Amino acid sequence: MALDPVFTTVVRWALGVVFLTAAVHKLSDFSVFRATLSEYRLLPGALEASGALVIVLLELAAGVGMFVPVLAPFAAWMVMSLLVVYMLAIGINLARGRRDIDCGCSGPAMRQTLSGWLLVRNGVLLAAAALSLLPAASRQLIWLDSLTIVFGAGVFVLLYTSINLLIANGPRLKALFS
Amino acid sequence: MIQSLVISNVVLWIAVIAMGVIIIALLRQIGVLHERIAPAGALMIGHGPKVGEVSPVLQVQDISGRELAIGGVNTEGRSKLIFYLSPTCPVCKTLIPVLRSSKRSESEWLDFILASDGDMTSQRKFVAEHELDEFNYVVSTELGITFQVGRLPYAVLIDEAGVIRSKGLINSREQLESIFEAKEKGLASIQEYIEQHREDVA
Repeated sequence: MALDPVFTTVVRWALGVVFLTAAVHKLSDFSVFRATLSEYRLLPGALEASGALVIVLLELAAGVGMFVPVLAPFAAWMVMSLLVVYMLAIGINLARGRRDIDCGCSGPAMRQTLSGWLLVRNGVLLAAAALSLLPAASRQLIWLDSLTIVFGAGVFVLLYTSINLLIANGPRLKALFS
Repeated sequence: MIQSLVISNVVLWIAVIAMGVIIIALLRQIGVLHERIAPAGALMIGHGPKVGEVSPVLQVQDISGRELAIGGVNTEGRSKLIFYLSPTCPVCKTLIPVLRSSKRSESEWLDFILASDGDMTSQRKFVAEHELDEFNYVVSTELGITFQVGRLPYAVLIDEAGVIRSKGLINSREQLESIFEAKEKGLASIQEYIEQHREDVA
């Protein structure tokens, strides 16, 4: 069964906004992002600067691509590869026990330390990107569909931000009880 | 019938968006509350020796073995800036060039001390990587506890008479410069400066 095009577009737009804002946050304080990346201790020092730039450029490209119907499937694959890389990077550092480093996901203003919840969050994004790759039925879209797309994507972005805030607050709540 | 459904759909969307915004606002407020009620140790801003008080006196050794006196009257009339940082703090790294240039521009009256805590091998690696040899780099838990440093990067300015003139979290070049500014104007913080200025106008 083919998906209704409204579902596909909502998912694409929401992912587009999520990746564009992530890229803009990283760019706006690029030196902090570079330092954050080096704390992951995964790239050799010489590659850190170029690695950080490549990540931001890929995020930008994937974010923009999500809004262009012809490019969206490529953008979805890019998003999925980025998410897998992020999950590996977070997973490796969780395994190393380095929980107190900053995620760097949404810029330095949101201080998220590493936790399993970030893996869950990225898993959900990964599933969403995969969903957007499923074949969509074609039908004539009317004005109410546009409304659903804009508001629907908006709500998912708001929910994503809420989840990030919850993840950021988590360790602080724990600290209260220790 | 269809028209009613359409209308109800539009109204519901607006309601859902509004709720999404409200949830974010609430979560942000919870974040602020956490900052406020965090137990001592996690956040100790405003604790420890106060601005205007005489600094506790202690003797520390930097990683090249030089003895340094913190606090007390400086016979050469020089002030001291203790800058707390750590190899694991991203913002600290971005401030290293600022520290370097400030050290040069304020060299007439100010000595810089970089203070950190933790594993010695990673500290030495950090110093080598960022070429911090020109600074006195102190690894000491005691120095952090003395001034109740909870968050990084943090700075404490002690004047030639051994009095704490300014202290606080430093996140940018402007904040570091505001500490020097405060010293020149004889004020504890730039906030105090603005406050005083306002009174003058009024």
